[in-house]
Amino acid sequence: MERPLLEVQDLHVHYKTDDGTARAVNGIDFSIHRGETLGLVGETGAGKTTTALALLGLVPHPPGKITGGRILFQGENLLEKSGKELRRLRGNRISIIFQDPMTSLNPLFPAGKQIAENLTLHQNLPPREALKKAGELLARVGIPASRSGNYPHEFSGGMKQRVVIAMALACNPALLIADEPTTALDVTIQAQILEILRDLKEDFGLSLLMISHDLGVVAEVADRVAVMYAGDIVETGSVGQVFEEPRHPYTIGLLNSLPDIDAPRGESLQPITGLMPDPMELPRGCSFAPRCPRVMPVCEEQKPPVFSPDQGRGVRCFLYHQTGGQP
Amino acid sequence: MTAPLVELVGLQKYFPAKEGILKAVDGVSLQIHQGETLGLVGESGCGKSTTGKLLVRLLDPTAGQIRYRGRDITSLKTPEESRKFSRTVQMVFQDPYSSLDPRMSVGEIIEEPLRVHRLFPARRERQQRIRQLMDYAGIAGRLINSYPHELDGGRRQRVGIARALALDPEFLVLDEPVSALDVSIQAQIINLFQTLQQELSLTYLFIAHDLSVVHHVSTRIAVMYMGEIVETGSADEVIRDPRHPYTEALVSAIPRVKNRGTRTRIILQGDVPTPVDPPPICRFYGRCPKAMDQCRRPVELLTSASNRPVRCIREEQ
Repeated sequence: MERPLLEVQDLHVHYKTDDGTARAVNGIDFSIHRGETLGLVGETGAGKTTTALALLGLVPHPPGKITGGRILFQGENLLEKSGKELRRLRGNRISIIFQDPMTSLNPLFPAGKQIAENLTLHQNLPPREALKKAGELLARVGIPASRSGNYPHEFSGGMKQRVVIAMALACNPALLIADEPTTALDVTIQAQILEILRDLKEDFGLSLLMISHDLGVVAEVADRVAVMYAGDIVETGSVGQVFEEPRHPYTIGLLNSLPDIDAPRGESLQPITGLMPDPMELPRGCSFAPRCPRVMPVCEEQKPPVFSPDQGRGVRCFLYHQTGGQP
Repeated sequence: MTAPLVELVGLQKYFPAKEGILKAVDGVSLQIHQGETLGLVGESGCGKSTTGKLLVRLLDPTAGQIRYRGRDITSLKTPEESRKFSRTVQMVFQDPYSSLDPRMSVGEIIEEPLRVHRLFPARRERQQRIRQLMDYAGIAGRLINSYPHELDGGRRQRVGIARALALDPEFLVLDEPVSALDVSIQAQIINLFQTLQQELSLTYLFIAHDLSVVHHVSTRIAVMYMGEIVETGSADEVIRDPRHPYTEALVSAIPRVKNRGTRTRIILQGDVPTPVDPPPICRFYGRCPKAMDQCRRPVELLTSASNRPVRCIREEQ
């Protein structure tokens, strides 16, 4: 099998604060193959965004620090790269889009110029050629090239997000990280953006890391899914495996919390009781143990390893210790 | 059929804007019956929140009537009358972070409406009432002296709910009450609303953009677009058999976790427009995948064969 484009191994990210150490990411492993979309889902504070920032070498330091692990991108460990080398990668081989497009846009420059900047910086294109290509990229995301001279405030929210996508794709990246790219948008605009991402992924042969709290959005675009909880990836598998036959009690709980529009009305939802633990005071054993309806004594003693109850799936839960999974 | 608890008749709210008149709510007529939940859905700027604010009299309408138990409440004369009305109708806001005073403790926040309305003047009884309200909303008693910043989003929303219940209202306007919450917490709060509705025989107007949530909680659903109601019906009718092309597109755009890829997705072109001086044609004309030349005229809510009001000329045929 071909080597994955991105391999994250045993990644740890901690934030040091006056009150203690927040263990935001606690030894996660995942990989993304060429042309594949991995959906990273989880609730607020699960560590999704920290993971994305770590991939780009953008964890704010201090207070944050990558305290262990490896991030192999095209076989090279990004954690051993210098700031200069990382700057050469970002916006070039790896791009990111955030929830709020204004995180990435400068209000003082026209959209086309900002896209062109990326091309002159990373590909040494002469300014005029870069601007021309910026116009083509805008057209590719559904904005007439004639609007290349417009400033960010002259675009609507959905249009701004399109500009950011054009900018992210300017240098033909191998990996696009999309962190809640449609969360701030209306449903009909969200549908437009998801459609664009699906199209571009195919045209550009992109690998996509789609981060979202919205299980539906991830289900629509991802090939595989990783479910994150309190700094751990608790379950991975294909979209079908994770969303249709979830194994981890947290994944099961999440899906039961969600109103299903195709189900008959009148059944009440089954929420997960309690709250996600404070990352400064994570439980000793399984981080989900305090809320888990199927908790066993061992879960409070030690952190479960990843078991593989079926092909292509990983579950960090002792329930699957007996069922053929290997530690 | 019994008379509706709340009735909106030709309700309008216009705001002056730089480019003209923003017709945020433009001739909305709705009925809400006792004990039901009416879901009001639509995208940002469609006028759903403005409608909610008009209902609790946070805004005064430009024209039209709001009848509560048959009585027009847009022209309450005395402060006494207003006060009485505000006891029966309360609102829960989307953002528990900004609708709670950061300098007040949980107990003080819940107590405030009781003080303002001079209910439970005896301190002991008032404290009892606060405990009871916290109990209703599922807030642990030990949190009575906590401040909003010490609580997570779900608990903050529970405080907002306890405050809304303080005056023993009959009718609650819930404006995106679970949109800011994580899925597992969202489910807790949705269940809480349903339990409270039964225990306290409440009537809800549930305003939200998330159709799955609205379908789950609502008896009936009204869909709003650019200040107008475009379709109403039972929750199942509107979701399973949408008649207006906008509703159809909305329903098809919901990202689904189950039954992925089993339906055709209708992708609307263009942005959600703002109703500033809208031309006198169907307001969905510019984005409608089924638009025809005949749509270039004002369209009323038409009652189709299925006895559901739909604002689309295709219902005439």
